[in-house]
Amino acid sequence: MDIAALLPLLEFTDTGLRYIGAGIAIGVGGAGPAVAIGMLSGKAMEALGRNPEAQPVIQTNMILGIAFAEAVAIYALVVAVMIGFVF
Amino acid sequence: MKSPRTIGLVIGAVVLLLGGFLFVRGPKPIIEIKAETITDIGPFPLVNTYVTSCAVVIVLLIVAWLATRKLNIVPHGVQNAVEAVMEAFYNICVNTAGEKNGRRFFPVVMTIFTFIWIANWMALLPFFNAIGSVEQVTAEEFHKEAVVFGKSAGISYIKTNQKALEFDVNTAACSAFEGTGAAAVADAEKKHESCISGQRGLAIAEKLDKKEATHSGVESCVGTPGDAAYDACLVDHSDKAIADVRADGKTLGVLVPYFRSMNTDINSPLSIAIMAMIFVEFWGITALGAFKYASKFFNVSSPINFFVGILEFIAEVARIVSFTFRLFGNMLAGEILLLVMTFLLPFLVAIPFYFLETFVGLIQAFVFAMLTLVFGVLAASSHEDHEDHGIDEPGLVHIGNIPAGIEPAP
Repeated sequence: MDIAALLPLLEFTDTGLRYIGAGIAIGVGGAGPAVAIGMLSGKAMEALGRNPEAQPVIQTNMILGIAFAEAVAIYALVVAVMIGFVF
Repeated sequence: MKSPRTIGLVIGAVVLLLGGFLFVRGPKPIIEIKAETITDIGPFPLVNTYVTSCAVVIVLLIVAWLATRKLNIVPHGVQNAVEAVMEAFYNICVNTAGEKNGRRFFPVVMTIFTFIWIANWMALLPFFNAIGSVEQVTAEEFHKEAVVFGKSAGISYIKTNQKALEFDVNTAACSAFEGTGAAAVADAEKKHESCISGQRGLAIAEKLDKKEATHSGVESCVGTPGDAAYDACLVDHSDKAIADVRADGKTLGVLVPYFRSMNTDINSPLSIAIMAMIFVEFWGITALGAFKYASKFFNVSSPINFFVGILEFIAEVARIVSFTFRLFGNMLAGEILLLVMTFLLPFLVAIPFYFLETFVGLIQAFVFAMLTLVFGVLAASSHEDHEDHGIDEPGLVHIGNIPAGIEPAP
């Protein structure tokens, strides 16, 4: 029972595995940043509720933090596009 | 709610959506991550993102000239707008970095901000990615997907309701000539190249015969892949099919756009990131002195500090990578998103995505500039500053305490 002989039986082709890899890359990679952005925005809302006068400060820093978190999702997207279309 | 105007708008929207979907769809967008070369100037390829960056510089120069033509104490027109943007960003700068450092860092940071901002917004103009030259696809200059362009009055265009042609090249037929087993075959690399050419020609000829009703006669070729005569026969017949298509006035090719968003070419964010980090190191060294700044990273006072120093050095280098990929990934993803959305439903659906792209373009420019600023402040501050957490005096600003819009405690 050798994997190399089994794979063609299950119709695992090169391209098929590649696209699965691309899908997993962006799927799992997008989960972390989504949670992070949600938590950031939640905390910002809390801070805004406590001190509405500080709105410009809070908003600026929230956008900065969200861009940091989003960058990780973008790394995952770039890797997914590279796996799917370049390699 | 049921006024004739509302009903008219709804009906118009539905007509646009359905009509666009049924009648005016184009071919699937051919996504190419690498920036395309338009021509070659001497030894250098002229790349379409470089043309865009020159256009951005020209636009910025024109705006600067218009804003400073007749300077007034009370600004009007373009001077007013430019001063508003400058002042807003200058306030953010000074609030983050303190009075002295803020003034020192402001020119570089503002340049990064405006350059990336105008470059990102310019990419939303309608003719970007849409107008360009046609690069012909043959077995030698091969692209996996191509479109048949119609021609009228000397201009090639893509007709509506046309599908992109995908070529399935059978590379498995050439597997005898690559990999570890190839050493046994004489001239393995040359045979591999000719075999791949031949298979590409075969794919092109078969696809054109099927979709464009050409007669390439490629079935008449006999032989095995790798055999030079057979491969040459395949390529010849594929060229014949392409010539047949051209005889109808059409061309098989891919579009090489003249203008493409500057930051979708990874060289552009990389160069801006390298420049920003060079400036951060420069600010650190001029603020602290070379030895004191170097001792942040190469600290031999204790093993733990040494290890932490090495990690900080690696983090410093990783910032270049992270800057680059943040900007590149956002812009590339935005471009692909717009292309695919316009392909799926040609008319109204792309509009919210244009709003998203506008927002993301501005935010990414802002984030790049702010991160450069924050890293500069971190580099120019020594470790002793971090231990002073008393009541803030006016003018002594820590990074975690940005009082924009709030009076600092007197």
